[in-house]
Formats: sequence, C-alpha cells, structure tokens
Amino acid sequence: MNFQVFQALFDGVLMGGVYALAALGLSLIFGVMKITNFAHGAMMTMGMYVVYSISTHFGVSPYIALPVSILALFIVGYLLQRFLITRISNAPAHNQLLLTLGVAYILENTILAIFTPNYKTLNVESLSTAIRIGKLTVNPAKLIAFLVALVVTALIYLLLYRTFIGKAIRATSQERDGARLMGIVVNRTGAIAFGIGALCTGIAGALLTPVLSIYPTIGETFQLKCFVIAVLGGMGNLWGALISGLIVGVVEMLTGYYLGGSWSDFVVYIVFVLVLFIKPTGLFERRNRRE
Amino acid sequence: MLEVKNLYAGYGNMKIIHDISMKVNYGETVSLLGANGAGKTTLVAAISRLIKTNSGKIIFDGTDITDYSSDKATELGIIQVPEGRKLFSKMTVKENLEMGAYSKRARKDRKKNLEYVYSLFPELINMEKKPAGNLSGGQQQMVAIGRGLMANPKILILDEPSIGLSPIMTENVFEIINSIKKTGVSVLISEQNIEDVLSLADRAYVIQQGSVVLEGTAEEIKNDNNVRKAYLGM
Repeated sequence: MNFQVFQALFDGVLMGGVYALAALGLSLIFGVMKITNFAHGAMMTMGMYVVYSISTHFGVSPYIALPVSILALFIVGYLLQRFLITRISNAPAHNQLLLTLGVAYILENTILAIFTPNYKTLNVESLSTAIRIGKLTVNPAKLIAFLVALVVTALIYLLLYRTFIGKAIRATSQERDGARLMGIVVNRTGAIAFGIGALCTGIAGALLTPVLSIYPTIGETFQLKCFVIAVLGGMGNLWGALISGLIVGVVEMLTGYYLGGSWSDFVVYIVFVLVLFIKPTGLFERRNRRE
Repeated sequence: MLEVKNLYAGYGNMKIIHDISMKVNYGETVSLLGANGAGKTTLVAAISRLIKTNSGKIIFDGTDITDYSSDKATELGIIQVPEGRKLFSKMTVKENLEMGAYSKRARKDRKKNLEYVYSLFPELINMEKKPAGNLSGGQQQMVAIGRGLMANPKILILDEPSIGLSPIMTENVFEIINSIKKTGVSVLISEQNIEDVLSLADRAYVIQQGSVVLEGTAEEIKNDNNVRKAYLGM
C-alpha cells in the first residue's frame, strides 16, 4: 500500500475517534429521550470557546481547561432537559426540533455577540509541531484528541454497562413505562443522560480547539456530521456510533487524499445516502427484532 | 391496605374509568375481572401512579397517594408486573432483575431477593446473560414476575399475567402466583382467564365499561351463572 494512503488512513482514524465521541452523545440522547438534539453542534462550539477563553486568558494548556468545558456542558445539557425538553416530551416531533434548534441559535448568537465572527486560533507550539513515528507524521494535538476521546468513550460505556445509574439510563431508553414501574425517576435519568450526551460535545469541542480555527457557526458542520454518524450507526446504538465515527473520519481523509479536501463532505454524504438506500435501519441494526 | 375511592381516570381527554371503588386487604389476593377494554389496565396504571387521576382517592397503608409519582409509589411497595411485560429487551435477564431492585427500599435486599427469584424460576439461572428480548413469552413472563419480586412488593399487581401464554405456561404462572400469595404479599391480579384466577383469589371485582358492576368472594362469583353469562361472556 502506498504510504501516503496509510498516513491518510491514520489521520482519518484520529479524527474519527473525536467524531465518534461527539456522535455517541447525540445517539445517547436520542436513545433515552427520543429527541434529536439539534443544539449538539452549538454545544460543541460552546465547548471550544470555553477552552479557547480559559486557555488564552490564563495562558494555560487547553487540556487544563478541558474539565471546565466538561462540567459546563454537563450542566447545560442537564438543565436543558430538566427545564425545557421535559415540557415538550409529548409534543409533535417538529416542535421538539424547533426547541433544540432554537437553543442552538441562542448559543451560537451569544457566542457571536461575545467573541465576534472572526476566526480564532489557539496557538500552542508544542501541540502543532508534528512529531514523527517511523515514517508517519503525527500531529500531537490530534493524537491526544484521539486518545482522550477513546478513553472517555470507554468510560461512558463502563458507566452505562457497569453502574446502577448507567443501567437505569439504558432501561429508560428501552422501556420507559417499565422503568417508571421499577421506581426509576425517568425525568432525572433523562436529564443525566442528556448531561452526559452534552458533555461528550464539551470534550470533543475542547479536543478540537488546538486543531482548528474556530468561529461561532463552526458547530453546524459538526451537527450534521454527528447526525450522519449516529444515523449510520443506528440512532441510539452506541457501538454503532463508535464504528461509524471511525468510518466517517477515514472516508473523509481518504477522499481528501485522492480527490482533495473540498470533496470530503461530498463523499461522506454519498456514502451516507448509499448506506441508507441499501440498509435504511443503519449499518448495525438488525431488522424486525423479536419482541 | 390499598383502597380506591370513587376514582375517575383516563388518558388525556379519554375518560376510561368512572367512579371505581375497591380495596385489597393485607395478605389478600383480589382479582379484577372484565373483558378487553373494560378499564382494568387503566385502573392499575392509576394505582401505580403511571397516569393522572381526574377525581377520587387512592389510599395505601393509610397514606393518600393520589398525587404521588410512580417512583414514590414504588418506594412504598406498590409493584406492578405490567401487561405485555415491558421488559428491558436488550438488557440481560440479570440486569432486568437488578433493575427491579432500583428503589431504595429494595436495594438492600437485592441479594436475598435474587436468590428467592432464582429459587422460584431455576431456569432463569442459565439465561442470566441472555438479552431478555431473546426469551420465549413464558420465560419473559418469569423475568417480569421476578423483576417485580426484586422490588420487595407489599402489594404485587399483575396485569394480565397469562396473556399470550400456552395453557401449560399459564398453569405454571398461576402456581407461582399462588406461592407468592402464601408468603403473605397482597396480590391484585387482573385477568381474563377467569377459571384459573378465581380458584386463586379471595375476592373479585367485575369491571365493565370502566365501572365496578359486581363484587364478591371468589366463591360467590364462580358459582353465579348469571354473573358469568351477563358480564364475563361465558
């Protein structure tokens, strides 16, 4: 195999890991609340600006600002579910869409008002100087992003599959009334799940801040990307989101290598449409599961 | 122990039950009889606090629980095994049982209750790692009853436990309910399978179009041919 292809593949996996984390959050929120969070991208933007502000203001590494971003987004997600989304949980789907979309615009425009529409770049020299592993060129910020995303993803799986509260979240997503009958407070469980889903964007956004130039509407591309990944993996299917995230990252980078960067979104959506055409339930959902 | 007084309830604008009064005493097994759509499921949903009531009262152990949420009702020991089982189908059998012990009351007795459930349903032991959704209907009903028992019920409400089960499985389920009854737990059981349930119950209420049309001991209702013809379609 051509070495350049290998390099592109490698870069794709690194980015894909971060996409996967953000999309995992979207998929988790959908699984538990049956709501597509159209503020997901804007929340990611918020995470980016939190990290950017702290990092430039205090002159600290963006990774020191990461916990603040995590906490901020968890709180935003929790409160959003607890006080706004609860009220529309029985409303028609288009109303739910408008609510989260409205939140997205509020977040975006608040950021616009505070930070202006100008591009901001976080210059951390130690992070942007490429290192070489054998013949491979590695951007340290991307490598750290991938590794952190992987660890966080693993932690979220552990939380969901090994802890009592995690199991309650899964129970709520699978059978709401059954969960209520067992004494699970579904509103609280839902708010925690929403908080965790939002926190994923806080981390993904923070991790990408040293890699990208940020601007107030940057979240919109990620919103769509997360949506594509979550749907490819089967909405609510967490393992599916992980694999699909890696696939999308790799497809993007390989397209960039063969056709040029401007084609990458195009090819990602072609793949997306093709998959849905062939398998409308997403890549990993079995159809007609026995009840 | 459980007393329902002049209860009206339904879903949204759909009023389903009208002026229902009934009660279950300590250690008693009471049956709700009636055809499909009579309002049995709505009544037990109101008791479990899954739906809002329009008027009337629900009293449990001397406490007015009419405005309680479902989790508070569970915390008091009102546990329902719902119609259609409502299992967490992608979670394992063991996880489903664990979720039964979600309430604070039940959490401390988790180990003891799990042993009890496995002694009632030994065949679940070998399936503990299987997703509940992959089990047969009868096995799923065992998981559902087991999950209910994990919650330390003071009153166990079973909504149509035999629906969709084979005659042999139905007989098994009723045997299990009989042994649960003998442990002193109060049982409220809604059924269409009248013969079986009346041989188990102490008393019964016949519900028709959302109202109680008749009540009596299981014996009285069993032997009253007019009742059977008029209300139960037998």
